[in-house]
Amino acid sequence: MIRLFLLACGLLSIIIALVINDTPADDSIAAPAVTRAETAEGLRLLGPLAQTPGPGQGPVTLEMLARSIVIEYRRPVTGERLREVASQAGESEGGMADLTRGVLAGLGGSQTPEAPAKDSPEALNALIVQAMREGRSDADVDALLNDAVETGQVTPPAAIVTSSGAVDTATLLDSLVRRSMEAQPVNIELVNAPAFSDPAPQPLAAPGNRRIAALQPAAAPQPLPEVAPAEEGGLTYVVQAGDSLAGIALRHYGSTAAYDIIYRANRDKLPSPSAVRPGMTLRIPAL
Amino acid sequence: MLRIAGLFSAGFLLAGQAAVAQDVRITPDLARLVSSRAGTPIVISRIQDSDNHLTGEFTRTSRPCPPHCIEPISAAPGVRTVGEVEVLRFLDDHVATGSGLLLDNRTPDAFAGGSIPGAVNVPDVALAASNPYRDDILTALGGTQSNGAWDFTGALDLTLFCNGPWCDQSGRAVRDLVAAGYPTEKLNYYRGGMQLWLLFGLTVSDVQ
Repeated sequence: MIRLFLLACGLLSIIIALVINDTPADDSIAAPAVTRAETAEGLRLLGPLAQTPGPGQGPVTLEMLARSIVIEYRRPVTGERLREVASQAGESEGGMADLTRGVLAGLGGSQTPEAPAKDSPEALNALIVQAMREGRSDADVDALLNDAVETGQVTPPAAIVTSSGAVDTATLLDSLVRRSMEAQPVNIELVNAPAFSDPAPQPLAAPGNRRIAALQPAAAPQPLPEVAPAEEGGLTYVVQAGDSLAGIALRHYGSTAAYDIIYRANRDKLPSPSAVRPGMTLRIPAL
Repeated sequence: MLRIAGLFSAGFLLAGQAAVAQDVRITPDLARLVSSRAGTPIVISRIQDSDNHLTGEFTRTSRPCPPHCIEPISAAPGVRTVGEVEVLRFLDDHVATGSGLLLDNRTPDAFAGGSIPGAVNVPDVALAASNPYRDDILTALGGTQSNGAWDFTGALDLTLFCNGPWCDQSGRAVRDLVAAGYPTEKLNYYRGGMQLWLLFGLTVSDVQ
């Protein structure tokens, strides 16, 4: 639950930051998107993004938004409203990917548009973002991701695959939250503005508190991994069931991208990053 | 006999002239442009009915501003603003040879409703820095990346347009490209857009 809330906060703070930064100096600062996003309940944050106009299925496409802009055409439309709507379309990862694919197809002439590479991180992230938007629970996201992997719809990067062959969704979601928290800082004044359509404005957590909450372990608390000092002064780690190389790297180095360090230090045991097996002893080089 | 033959030839000549003659040319020297893009032929001429008028959306005078404000002549310092004649020349010299592209910066459904023949649809949001996939488009336009820095020396020449002088999409697209490092001498801004293209009765691509 906390993770969903944090992820939603993170995604929406990116949106807010982009909307604000895109607004020219002479426009008024108040942007409804900012205040609507900063309400307390985590899942309600997804409300505005989940309830999009149109048939109610699939991600918000630029076509749908273009149509809604045209409908608003006749009403007084301010620059902020259009930019807010357009940036919502931009934030739909699936939407921008589709749009870019269409553009590339047009630029390439008669080439048929290609779906994004199945083992690209974007494909996986797009699935997660989609699931988040639909307000699905952690267990649902886990099931969705693993289904997609099993049916071949998505090939996850090898480092995120656990010893059992499933996707380490806990690590993946952790790293998404971290990345979104490291995004552009939100202007505190705007964050504390009264809520746009909220009847009872909720007290808002300062960004500092949110950051501390994000750094707490998002997954269920696990016992500290067994580490033994190795001869050369580095650590060793015994792989547990459900561990992925990315998760191990996250735990030891604080970053999933550092899986490569562990992988290179254990090439004799690991033919590929997904070859971790429970009971395997891995060397964790000191940085 | 000779008289009849003479009458017939005169008749044929006149008929031939009538078929070829265009009362509404593009320039004094140009009745129609015949060119191509990626091997597909393009023919651009003007509507020949002198009583033809615009109808519908493109006859409006007072769209809400913002966002539909009157755009300045210049989209960005160093970027040339061009007109219809230059666009036609660009199609023939650059688009047909593959050294340039005509970009329609409107939304995909606007593009599908009819555009300038030979244009490619690149919505302005796709060129904005907020598009995480923009790098792919910049590469397709001929940019190369090394260590995060872009090199556009081999990039295509571009002419950008949108709905007309009341549409800000191309202005934004031009400024986004310039901000990304695209050389200003390779960019052209067709400020007239669809508004002026239609006003001159120039050929519009088929509705898709």
